[in-house]
Amino acid sequence: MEQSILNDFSEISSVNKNNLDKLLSLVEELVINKVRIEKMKNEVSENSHEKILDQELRIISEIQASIKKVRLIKLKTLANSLEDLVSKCNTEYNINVDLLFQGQETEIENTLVIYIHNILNYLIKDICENEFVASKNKSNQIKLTTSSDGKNFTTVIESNGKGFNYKDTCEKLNKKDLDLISFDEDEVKKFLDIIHFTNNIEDLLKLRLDLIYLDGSMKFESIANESIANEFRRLTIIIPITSSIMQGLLVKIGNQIFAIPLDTIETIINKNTVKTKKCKNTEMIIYMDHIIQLVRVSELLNIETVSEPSCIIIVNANNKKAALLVDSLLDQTDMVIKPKHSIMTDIKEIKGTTILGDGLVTLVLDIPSILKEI
Amino acid sequence: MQILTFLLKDEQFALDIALVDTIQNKMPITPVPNSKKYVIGLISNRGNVLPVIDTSLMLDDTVIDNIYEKFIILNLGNEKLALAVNEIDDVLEIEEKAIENINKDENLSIINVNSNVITFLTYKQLQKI
Repeated sequence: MEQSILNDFSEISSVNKNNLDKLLSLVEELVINKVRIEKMKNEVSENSHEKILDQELRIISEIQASIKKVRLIKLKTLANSLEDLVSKCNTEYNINVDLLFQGQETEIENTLVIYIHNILNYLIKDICENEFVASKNKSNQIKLTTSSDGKNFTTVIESNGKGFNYKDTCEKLNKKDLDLISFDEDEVKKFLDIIHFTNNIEDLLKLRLDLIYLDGSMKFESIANESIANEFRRLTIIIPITSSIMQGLLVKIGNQIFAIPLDTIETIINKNTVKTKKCKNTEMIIYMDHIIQLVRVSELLNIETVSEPSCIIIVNANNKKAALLVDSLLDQTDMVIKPKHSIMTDIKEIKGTTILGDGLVTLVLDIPSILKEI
Repeated sequence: MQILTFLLKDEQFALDIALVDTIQNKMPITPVPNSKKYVIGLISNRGNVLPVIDTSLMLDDTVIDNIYEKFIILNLGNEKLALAVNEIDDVLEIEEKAIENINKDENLSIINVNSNVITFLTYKQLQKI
């Protein structure tokens, strides 16, 4: 049953008619352009070539934007199945739970819907089983709020049950031969954070806290868990929305070219305009009154540099900043990111690869994971 | 079965031709930092990005300064990869029982073709990459 729901999500998607019409008209424009290019053979003039190329580029970027929109699904599609789940839990555990689902109009990409469905499904079951059954409240409520700001998708799950108990979780972890009970709350929190980011899920699947249904390619941006015993628990999950088509900045490090996704770049500064300070083998720069760690990308990647690095790129991800030192800047370009080959999975600094106009493979740096490691 | 033989320095190697997707001429390789020793880098092939494996490094650890001329693109289950070799030699028809396993620990198999000893790369060996 569950499988069939998931199949529905992945195969059928409802598309806004306006989006589709726009896409259609863009394709028509492409066809017109094709005719113009064909005609160009006869009348070779620099001017017309550039004009058509400009138009072509505009159409392509518009098609990219509308294709992204077409792939979006409203979260309303999940509402029915979640309500079914809640009523099933109600009869199974003999409790009385209401589900309040806000933000059903939020649109997300259709491949993400399955993951979100899994996470929500799991959490609702978990809350019903572990929090509501134990709490003596007569009426229980799960409040689900979803929103998306184009970069991140945020889900907030609030429940008024027993709340979440670190001690219980520790005890459960202890049964799995993990000595955690002696840790204080902060350390456990840290540990749980680590669990959330590992891919070794098998053992942890049975634990209440485990949310990681996801395969290795999906990452949580952050998970925040607030809880007051016997009053409420609020879980905030933020999932980054990434697209395989994005803009990137090409930089040169040593003799090699790398791409940095443009949405992670905050600014670019000349190395000579800032002073670097050293503190315990770590280099820092001061930029707009902030102290930012300087990362020599060539050292991170073990590449020999041929010239003195000249550019500093300030990158920002998950509210963490770093200054990447690269040899030189080359160009800004549209790129399609392809996933890493399995042979490269343990190279964390690389997010994927892209093929540039000259046919050469270029590596794309994974900024969030570089920031996490430094 | 048919096998494709190729040269690495002076040594002759072979693999099952059913695994071969295409053979390509030398093209620019993008090196991958912090990768395994036997991964030379990446190439693009029909819109896919494939890792290039240094075949001699994969087989033993001695570094030979080799100049590769050809890439054999292999289809291993769901994934493709490219083996860098010096030269493609021949396609031979052999009987399956001609493949002899001489060292079980290292999975080393050889074929004797007209008193030429050819090292045969098995599917298992290639999959380990």
